[in-house]
Amino acid sequence: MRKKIWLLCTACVLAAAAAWAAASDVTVTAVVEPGVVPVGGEVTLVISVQGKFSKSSNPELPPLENFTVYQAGTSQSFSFGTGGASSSLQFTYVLVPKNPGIFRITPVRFRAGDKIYTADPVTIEVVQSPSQARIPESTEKSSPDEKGDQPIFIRATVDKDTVYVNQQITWTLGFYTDGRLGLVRTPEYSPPAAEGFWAEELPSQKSSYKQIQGKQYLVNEVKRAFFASAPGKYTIGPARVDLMIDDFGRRSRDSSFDDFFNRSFGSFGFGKPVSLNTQEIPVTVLALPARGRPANFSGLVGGGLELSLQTDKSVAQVGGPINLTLEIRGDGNFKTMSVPEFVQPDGFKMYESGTTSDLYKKDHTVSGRKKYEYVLIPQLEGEKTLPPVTLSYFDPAEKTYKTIQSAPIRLEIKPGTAEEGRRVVITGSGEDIEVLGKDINYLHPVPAVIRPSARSAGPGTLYVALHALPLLAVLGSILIERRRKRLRDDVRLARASRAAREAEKRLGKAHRLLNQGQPSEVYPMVSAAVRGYIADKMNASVSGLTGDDIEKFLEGRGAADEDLEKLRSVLKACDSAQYSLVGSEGPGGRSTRETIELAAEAIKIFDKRYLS
Amino acid sequence: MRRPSGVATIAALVSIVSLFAAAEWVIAAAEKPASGETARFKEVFAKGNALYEQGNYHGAIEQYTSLLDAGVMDKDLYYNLANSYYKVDDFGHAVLFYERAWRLAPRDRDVRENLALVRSQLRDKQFVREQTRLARAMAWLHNNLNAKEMTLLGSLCYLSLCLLGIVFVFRDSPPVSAAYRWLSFVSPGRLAGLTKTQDLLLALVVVSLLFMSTGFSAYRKSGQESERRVAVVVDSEAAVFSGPMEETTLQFKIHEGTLVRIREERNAWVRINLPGGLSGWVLASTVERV
Repeated sequence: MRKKIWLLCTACVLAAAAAWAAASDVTVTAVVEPGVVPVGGEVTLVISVQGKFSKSSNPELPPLENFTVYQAGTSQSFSFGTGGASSSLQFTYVLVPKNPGIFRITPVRFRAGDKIYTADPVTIEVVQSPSQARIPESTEKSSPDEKGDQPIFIRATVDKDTVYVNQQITWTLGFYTDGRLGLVRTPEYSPPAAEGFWAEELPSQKSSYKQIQGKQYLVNEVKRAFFASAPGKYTIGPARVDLMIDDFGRRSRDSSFDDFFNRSFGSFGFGKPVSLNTQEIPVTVLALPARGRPANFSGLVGGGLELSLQTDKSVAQVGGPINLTLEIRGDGNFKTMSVPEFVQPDGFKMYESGTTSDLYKKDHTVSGRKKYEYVLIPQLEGEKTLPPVTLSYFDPAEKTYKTIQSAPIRLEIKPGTAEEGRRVVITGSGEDIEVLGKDINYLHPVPAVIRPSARSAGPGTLYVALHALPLLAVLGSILIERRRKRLRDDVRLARASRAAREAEKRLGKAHRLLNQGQPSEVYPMVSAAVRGYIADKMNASVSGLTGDDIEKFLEGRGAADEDLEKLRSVLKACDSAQYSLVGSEGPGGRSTRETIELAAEAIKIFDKRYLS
Repeated sequence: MRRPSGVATIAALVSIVSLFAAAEWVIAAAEKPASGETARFKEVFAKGNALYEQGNYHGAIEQYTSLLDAGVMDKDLYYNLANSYYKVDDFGHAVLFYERAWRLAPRDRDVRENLALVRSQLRDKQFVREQTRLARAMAWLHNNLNAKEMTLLGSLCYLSLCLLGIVFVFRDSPPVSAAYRWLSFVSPGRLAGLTKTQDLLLALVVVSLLFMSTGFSAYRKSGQESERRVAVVVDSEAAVFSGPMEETTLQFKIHEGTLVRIREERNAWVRINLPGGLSGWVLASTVERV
C-alpha cells in the first residue's frame, strides 16, 4: 500500500513537472514500479495525464504480448503547478510478465479532443523467478509438526491449492498454544510474501479450542485472501510469528523446554525471543478458459453478481438532468474489474458523475459493490428507453462464463421550457407533429461584408465629443433668456442697450432716403438718430431734450471737446437744414452723406468711450 | 442684429444631429477594409462553411478561428463557430460564441434559439438566471438592441433632453407658446391638468430617466474587454475555491457553459459570482469573458 502511495505521488510530481516544463496543454507520463520484476511478479503501470482537456478517453496501450494486463483503477483530481492548475487523470494497470527479458513499453497514447499525446517510453526488466526469500537460519526455527509434543506452534493452510486467475484463495495462519508457556508480550505476525498475488487482509477470528492428540490447544487464526493475477505455479511464502517467551522459573519446572529453546536461541535472561515460521504453500493458478469467453468480458471472477441500472426519476423535461446509477455487487475482486461498456443513449447528453466502490469481507469472502454514476440530459421529448447494460464474468464454482443484464428503463421526456415555443401543432388535424430529431439551427452563409474591428464596440472619441454641442446650446439658451429677462425688467438698461442699434437703424434709413432722392427727410432722420441715441442713454424723453442737456450729460461722462465738437457739428447741421433749403451740399460745406457718416462716427465713439 | 429665437435653436440642434450622423458615417467608412482583404476573409469563411457541411467540425473551427485572430468581429462568424463547437460537444465554447453573437445581433432568431437549446443541455441548470416577467419587460430594449443601436438610442434621448431643456428655457416666448398650444393635446400631463411649466418639467424628468437607462445600457454593452464582467466556463469542470489558491477550501464545482460574473482578478485567479449568492475563486484559464 505504501509503495502504491509513493508511486502515485511520484507520478503526480513527475506529471506536474513535465506539464510545467513543456508548457503544453496536455502532458502524458508513464511510470512503472518496480523496474525489475521476476516472471509472474507484478508491475504497476501508472499513466498520468495532466493538463487542460475537456473530452478524453482511456489511454491506448501498445500490444503487450509478454504481459497479462489488468486495469486496476482510474482517478481524477485537480492538480496545481506554477503555471496554473488543471485536471489530472491517472490510470493504473497491473502487468504480470510471462517471459524474461527487457521490454520497452511504447507508445502509450492518450487522445484529448482531437489531439493525440504520447508518453515517453518506459522499460521493464523481467528476470527468472527467484527462489523465495528466506529468513536467516540463525534466527529461525521451523514450525514443529503438530503431532509433536510442542507447547506452541503455528500452521498455515489454504482453502484450495488450485484456483483460477482472480479467484480467491483464503490463507489461514493458526497459532496454537497449550498454555504451558507464558508470553511476555503479544506475538508479532509478519504476513507471507506472495508475489503474483493481490492480497487482502481478512477480519480477525475469535479464539477457539482444538483437541490435537488428546491435548487441548487454544487456537488464534489470522486469514488473508489472495487473488492470483496470472496463471502459473506460485508459492505463498512462509509467515513468521515473533514471540517473547516468559522463561522465569521455567528451567526448574520443565527441563525439556530449556532444551527446546536453548538449542536455537540461548537464554537472554528475562524472556526469550522465538521466531516461528510456517511452511511454504504451493498453489496452481489456472488460466481462465478461452472457450466461451464473451467479447465484453469484464475480467471479474466471482459469484452471485447482480447488476442494476436505476434513474432517480421516470419523468423528466428536455434539458432537465436525470441521475443514472449503474451498480454491480457480489463476490470477487472488484479492483481488477474494467468499467462496463455503457454508451451514450440516443437523444441524451451524458456526463460521468463519479465512481464509488466498497469492499466487504464477510465470512472470509471478499465481495464488493461498485457504483458508476452518470448525469443524463435529455435532448428530445417523447418516450425513451435506456438500453440494458450487460456484464460478463467468470464463475469459478461452475467453471463457466456468465452474463448478467440490467432491465431496460423507460423514461417519459416532456418538452422543456426552451422547446415549448418550438413545438409545432397543426390545428384541425388533432395531432401533434412527431419530433424525430432536434438539432441547432443551421449555418449562416458568408456575409456580404466581413470587416476587422480595430476599435472596441464603443463609440469613437469624435462621436462622444459631439455630445458637448447640445449641452452648449442649452447653456447658451439659459444665458440668452436671463439677459432677455433683465431687459424686460429694467427699462433704463433696455433703452441703453438698444440705443446704438436703434441709432444705426435710423442712420441706415437716412442713407436710403438720400439714395431715393428725398434729401428733405434725411436730416430729421439723422437728428432723430443722434438725439434718440442720447435720450435712450439718458433714459429721457427726446422731445424735451435740448442741446445744453446733451452737452451737460456728455461732459458729465468725461467726453473730450473734439468728440463733443463732432456731435455739435452734426446737430447744428441738422437744425440748420430743417430751416433752410438743403441741396446736395449741407451746412458748413459738408455734404449730406458726410453728415450721416459723421453722425455714425460720433455715435460709435460715444458708445465705445463714454456710454458703454 | 437679430434676436435668437426658438426656431434658430432648433435648427442648431438639427445641425448637431446631422453632425452625429456624419461622424458615424466617417468612422464606418474609415473602418471599411480593403477589397482584397474582404475577399480573403470571405474565402476563409466559405471554406469553414464547406468543412462544416462535410462534417469536419474541427477543420471548420480552425478556419473560423483564423478569422477571429485576424480581428474579425462578426455575428455570423461567432454563430457558425458556436455551431461548430456544439457539434464537437464543446458546450462551453458554444455558449461563449453564441453569447458573443447575441450581443452583436440580439434579434437574430437563430442565435437566440440555439443559445436556448444549448443552455437546456447544460449540466448546471441551477445557475441559469430566471428573470421575472417584469424584469424581462424592463430589459426588453437592452436585450433586443446591440451596442451600436443602444448608443444611437442613448444619443437620441440625449438630444431630446437638450431640446426639451431649450424649450423649457424659452417656454414663455411666443413661438414656443404657440407650438405648445398646438402640440400639447398629446401630452398626458396637459390632459391631467398640469400647467405648461409642470407639464414640461414632467417631460424633462421622463426623458432624463430614459436617457440615463439607455446611456447606462449602452455603456455596459460597449465596455472594453477588461471591464466586461460576464464570462463563461469553457473547461468541462471548474473547481471553485474559497480563496485564490489551491490550499483553500474546495467549495463546489461548476461545469462548461455556466455563465458567471467576474468580481475581482488576482494573478491567475478570478473571483466569480453566481446566481443564488454563490461566489468563490476559480482559475482564470477555466473561464473566458464574453
